[in-house]
Amino acid sequence: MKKNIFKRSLQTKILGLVIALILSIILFLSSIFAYMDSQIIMENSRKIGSQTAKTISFMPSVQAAFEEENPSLTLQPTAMRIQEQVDANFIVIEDRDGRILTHPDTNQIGKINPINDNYKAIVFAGYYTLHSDEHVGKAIVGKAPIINENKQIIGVVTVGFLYEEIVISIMNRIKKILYFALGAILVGVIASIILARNIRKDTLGLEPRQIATLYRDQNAILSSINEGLIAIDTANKITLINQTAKMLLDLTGDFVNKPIHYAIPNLSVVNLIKNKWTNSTLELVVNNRDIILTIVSIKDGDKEVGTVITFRDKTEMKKMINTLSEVKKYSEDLRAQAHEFTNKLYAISGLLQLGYSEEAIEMIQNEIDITENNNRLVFEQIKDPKVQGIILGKIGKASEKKIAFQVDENSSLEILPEHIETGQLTTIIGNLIDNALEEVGKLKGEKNVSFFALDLGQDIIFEITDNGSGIPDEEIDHIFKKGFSTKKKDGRGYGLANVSEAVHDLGGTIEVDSGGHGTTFTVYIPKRI
Amino acid sequence: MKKFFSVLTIAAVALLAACSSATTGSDEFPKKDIELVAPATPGGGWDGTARAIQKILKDEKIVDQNINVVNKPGGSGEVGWQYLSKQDAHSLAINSSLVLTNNLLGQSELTFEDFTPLAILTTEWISIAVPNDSKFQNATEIMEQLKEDPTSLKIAVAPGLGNNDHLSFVQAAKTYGVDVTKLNFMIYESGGDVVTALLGGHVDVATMAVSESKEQHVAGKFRIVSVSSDERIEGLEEVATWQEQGVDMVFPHWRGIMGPPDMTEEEIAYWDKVIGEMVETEAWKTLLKNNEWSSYYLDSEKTVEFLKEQNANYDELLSESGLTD
Repeated sequence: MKKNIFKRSLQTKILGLVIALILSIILFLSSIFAYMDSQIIMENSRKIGSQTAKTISFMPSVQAAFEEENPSLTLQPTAMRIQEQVDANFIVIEDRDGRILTHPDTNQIGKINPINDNYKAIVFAGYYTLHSDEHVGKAIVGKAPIINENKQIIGVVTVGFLYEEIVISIMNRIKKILYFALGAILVGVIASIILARNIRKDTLGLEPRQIATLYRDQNAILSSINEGLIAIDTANKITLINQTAKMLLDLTGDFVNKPIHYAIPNLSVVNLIKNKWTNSTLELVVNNRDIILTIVSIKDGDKEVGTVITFRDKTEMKKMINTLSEVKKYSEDLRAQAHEFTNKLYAISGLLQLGYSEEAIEMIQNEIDITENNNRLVFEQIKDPKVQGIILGKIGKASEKKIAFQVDENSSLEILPEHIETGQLTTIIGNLIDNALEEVGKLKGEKNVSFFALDLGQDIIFEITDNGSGIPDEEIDHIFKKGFSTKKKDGRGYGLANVSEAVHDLGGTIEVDSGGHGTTFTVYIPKRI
Repeated sequence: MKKFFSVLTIAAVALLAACSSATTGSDEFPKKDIELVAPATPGGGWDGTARAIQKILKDEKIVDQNINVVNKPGGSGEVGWQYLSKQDAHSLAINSSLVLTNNLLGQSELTFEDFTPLAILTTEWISIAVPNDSKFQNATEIMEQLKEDPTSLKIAVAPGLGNNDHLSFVQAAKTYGVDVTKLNFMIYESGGDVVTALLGGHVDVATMAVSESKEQHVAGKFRIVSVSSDERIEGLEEVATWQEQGVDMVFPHWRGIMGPPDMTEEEIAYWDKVIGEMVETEAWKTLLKNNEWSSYYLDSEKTVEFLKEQNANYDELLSESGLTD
């Protein structure tokens, strides 16, 4: 049963609450009002009673009537007339002994009343009001002594208002109040229905329980994803920011309801708006971190209600990209090697079938020599397995492209320090060699690429040389910039920028020397950070 | 809310400060002439009391300010007291038990709680007198007769029903077990008329202040048979009190002094000091002697208690018939 109360819909809850509230307020106010009202009615009855009694007691005709044989004859009509005028329930005049002279019920006239209630008037000439049931019923009565010209007390006037009647008039008043109250309750009910509907509209028809569940789920989801996420409203105020976003942007504290530029200072509004419509990504440097933002606008129907910005650390992305590219390259390089090997096998097979066994043997011998030479160089001079791997792959690739790839025999490289990661190496060496291969691939005639590595001093030195056509002077300053490419293809142009970034990350430098007869890239990486 | 309350508190404190700075110390009070209201025409007990107080306070240099007596007659004190209730602490008025009974008998909306009672000063005692040739030797005999037939005696009283002379007789009769609703009171304009009626044999009994009856009694014109005091009165040693005659009642007709409502502690203290000094002076004692008044001084604090007690007594007397049906 109790459970059910909390399972009720929002509308029922609001309605119940509002009605309870209005009812209690109205009941409270009505009872106060009714109480005050009845106090006023009582007080009025009391006042009118005492004033009327006084007035009658002062009337000379009333005083004179007591001298007559039968005072009632004069007094009764007078008393009844005044009773009508002041709306009293009864006016009773008694003489000193309590004999009734006027009474609304004429049968009572002439009877003797006990004078308990008249005591103060008869003995002390007092004017007063009291609660009495001596005459007609329970009533509030005003009493006044009738005094003759000798200042003696000859009788008492009693003007009474019956409680029943007072209660009835109070009830009538309360009825009126209740009509108003009912009206107010009705208005309250209608208002609360409207309110409930309105709230439901705001909550997309969801019940608070559902909203709470969604909110909990959302929090769980937000904290579980490792992308930074910031939602902003139409005024560019942050409505939501997850933990990863704070971590990436190096923020602490509560950022909800603060303008977006508090969190991402260099995200210009123009950028924001432009990217919102294109749903494109945008790269920014925040806190010396490269982040890539994706900006998507949230729409309710066709109305824009806010924007979601998701972003990730580019270094992380780069790692992934690098890993991916490494895998791709290795497989590519392996494919190249296999292809090359197959080609050579075809050649040897061809030679043998044609009976040129001498040439075939020579070719095999050559192949062995080249491979051995290369391998010897690679494996003897270059001790680092990561670099070995990269170089071996590239040798295959070069061989397929009919490019002479040489590892300089003066190379010497011990195991690299641990802080140099495979990804970075792949980025630096792989990209530079790929660029060189590509560059010389355009040439007719001799195509040479050579690789040289040395780690004798404080620095590790890699040098990649090609005999390509070189880089024009006007472009030499831009080659390391993002998006720059001499190759007019989409999605390219990050190669050298990434190389340069990786080199800088390792605290190294990169130099390029390009004449009209090829290009040499030299990379210096300090052994200690 | 907290803020609101603190603002309120500050305002209240400021207000209090303003109030107290307006009346810094009793040495500041009084700041102007004192007005003494006698709620009656010149010549009566209230007027006499007011003028005596004025004279003594000036002559004895108890008060530096001028004191003016103002007569505001009407409505058994009602007019004067209504006037006082709208004045500041520099106005005082003489009062008596009427300040209680007026309210109880529906003659006035005002009662002692609407004022600042300062002191009870004096009391008069009330006597019961009979003509010389009356068959009654004492008050008990009168009461016995009334118990038999409450209507059988004409009782003189002035100036109207509900005053002390009347009330004291009714209380005595009621205490004795008389049906007071049947008593036959003859109402006269003044104490003088009552004396005349008694001397002329128009009435059987009269109730009046000792100061009004003593002279005639001493001169042997009529006899006082009872007084409402607790002890026999000087000069009337042969007259027994009600208590001695088996009616357990002491009925003072006291007079006092009061100020307007809401007087401050300092102002009340000032008047306590002044009146306390005044009732100690020889001049005051002489005044009491000359008027047949007894000293009955109570300070402001005791006065309030006394008035509450008196009010309850009067209420009982006026409301409860004591009749057993």
